[in-house]
Amino acid sequence: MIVVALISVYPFVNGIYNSFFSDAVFGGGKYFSGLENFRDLMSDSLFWTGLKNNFIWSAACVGFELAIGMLIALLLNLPYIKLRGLYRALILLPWATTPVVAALIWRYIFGVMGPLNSFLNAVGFANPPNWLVTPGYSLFACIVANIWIGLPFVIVTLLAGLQSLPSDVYEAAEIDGAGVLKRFFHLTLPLMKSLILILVTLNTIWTFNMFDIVYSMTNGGPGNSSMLLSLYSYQNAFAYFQQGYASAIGVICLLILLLPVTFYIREVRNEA
Amino acid sequence: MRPKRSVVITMNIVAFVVVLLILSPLLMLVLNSFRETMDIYQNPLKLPEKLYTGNYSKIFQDTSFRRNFANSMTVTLVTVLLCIVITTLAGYAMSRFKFKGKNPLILWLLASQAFPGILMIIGLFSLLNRYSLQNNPIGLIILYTTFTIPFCSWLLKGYFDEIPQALEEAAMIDGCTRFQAMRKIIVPMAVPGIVAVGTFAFLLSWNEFFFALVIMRENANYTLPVFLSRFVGTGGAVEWGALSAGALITALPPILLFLLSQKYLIGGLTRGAVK
Repeated sequence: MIVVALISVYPFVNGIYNSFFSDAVFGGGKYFSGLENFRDLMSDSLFWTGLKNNFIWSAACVGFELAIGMLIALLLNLPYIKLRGLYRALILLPWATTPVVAALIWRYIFGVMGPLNSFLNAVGFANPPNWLVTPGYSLFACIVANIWIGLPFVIVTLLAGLQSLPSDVYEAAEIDGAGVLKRFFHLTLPLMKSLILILVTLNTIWTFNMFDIVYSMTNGGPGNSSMLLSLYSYQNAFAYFQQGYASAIGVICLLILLLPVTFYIREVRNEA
Repeated sequence: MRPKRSVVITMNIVAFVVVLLILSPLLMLVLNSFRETMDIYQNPLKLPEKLYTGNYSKIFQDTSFRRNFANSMTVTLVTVLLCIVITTLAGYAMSRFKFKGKNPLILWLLASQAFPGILMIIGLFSLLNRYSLQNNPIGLIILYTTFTIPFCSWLLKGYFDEIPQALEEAAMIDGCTRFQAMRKIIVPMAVPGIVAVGTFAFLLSWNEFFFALVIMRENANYTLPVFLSRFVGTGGAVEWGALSAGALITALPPILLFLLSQKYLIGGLTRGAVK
């Protein structure tokens, strides 16, 4: 246990510690530079692009996953859907798929001559955009791919939540004449509030730190328009060898995530 | 109140279409792996007319693919084994014993899930370097095992909590040591949890990309996700045929394992959130 704790504590402390050091460009090791890395970050426009993209990315992924996931979970929870068990198993496959493989599939789908554009051409959209090399669209393509990966977990968690709801309350509401929408907004949502909150928090943390998709689909391009902080930090550490600077970006991510993390821990402890 | 027949039929069709849509990228991957690259480029929407297996023979002749496949297997299987042994013991300890610092420890285990990977890797990099574990499968195994431990011991703790203490107390009165009681009575009862933990560890270490990318610096030591990302290159025409075959072989083991053990895994993954 102690070993485990050490292995998980040490890199973390060391990472934060590193963020106060700068790497000499022409060798010569690192030197203490206080908050200089953070000051540099504040005037680094690429950092701000990454930060902005990270917020768009996280909000879009988590939001759409929750909305679409809820619709699909409600659908699969209908008692008269045939093959529900099979669907529930199959729908999880994207989640088990290697993320790099998923990124490559979507890179192919969004390709210039890929299936998506062929389809758009076929239904009458002449000149569909070249998704992966157009600023704006490239981040969108990555978001779609990430939603595809993240959706299954959301659906299955929501399904489990829906199935644990007390049925007598619903029968009572139905007798009282509450319609489908009313039952959803006044019963289902309030009853599942804490589950949804935990789900969204966890999902936000995972999505915020996601690396594989953007690295494999666009590598931040074109022209850094789909840059995310995880990728920018990676590039700094392992392409430009600015580990202190990279650590500083990591520390900022951690500070941003601190809020959801504390919330998650508090909720889990309350539940336990 | 029974829903109308038309509603039932519509909803069933909608559900079928939704599932099909979600699976379509994977189906496309399967189809493409049996087509020639030219054909993939020219007719992206068409179904293949004949079964072309050249992609598979090509990818299997690639020595670095074979080596990297073996690397992935070794790293993953060792990680799964270590993870099961360690987290069974740790989960049991957390469930049965009171010890100082237990609560902070559990908290830390949960919190460590959220750390940005980049902060971890920069710290770990120098550590791995010092013990020459960088560019070494053992380094990757150690990392993956430590990643799985927090969540998996937490999950198994939950399983052990539900097994009544009286069972092992009875066994101990009958002359078992605590370890025997655990091995013969408790562990067999926690098999669903252990299967879930094993699957989770397998998925994590087989699919992991970021740390493998950073730590493995030589072709011969890559794992499959790194192999694929190198294979696709950074520009120019991509050889989708062979790539699809390689990607499918990469994605298949976790998918198959997942289908086999999904009953246990889903229960394990969602129980924490639902309870």
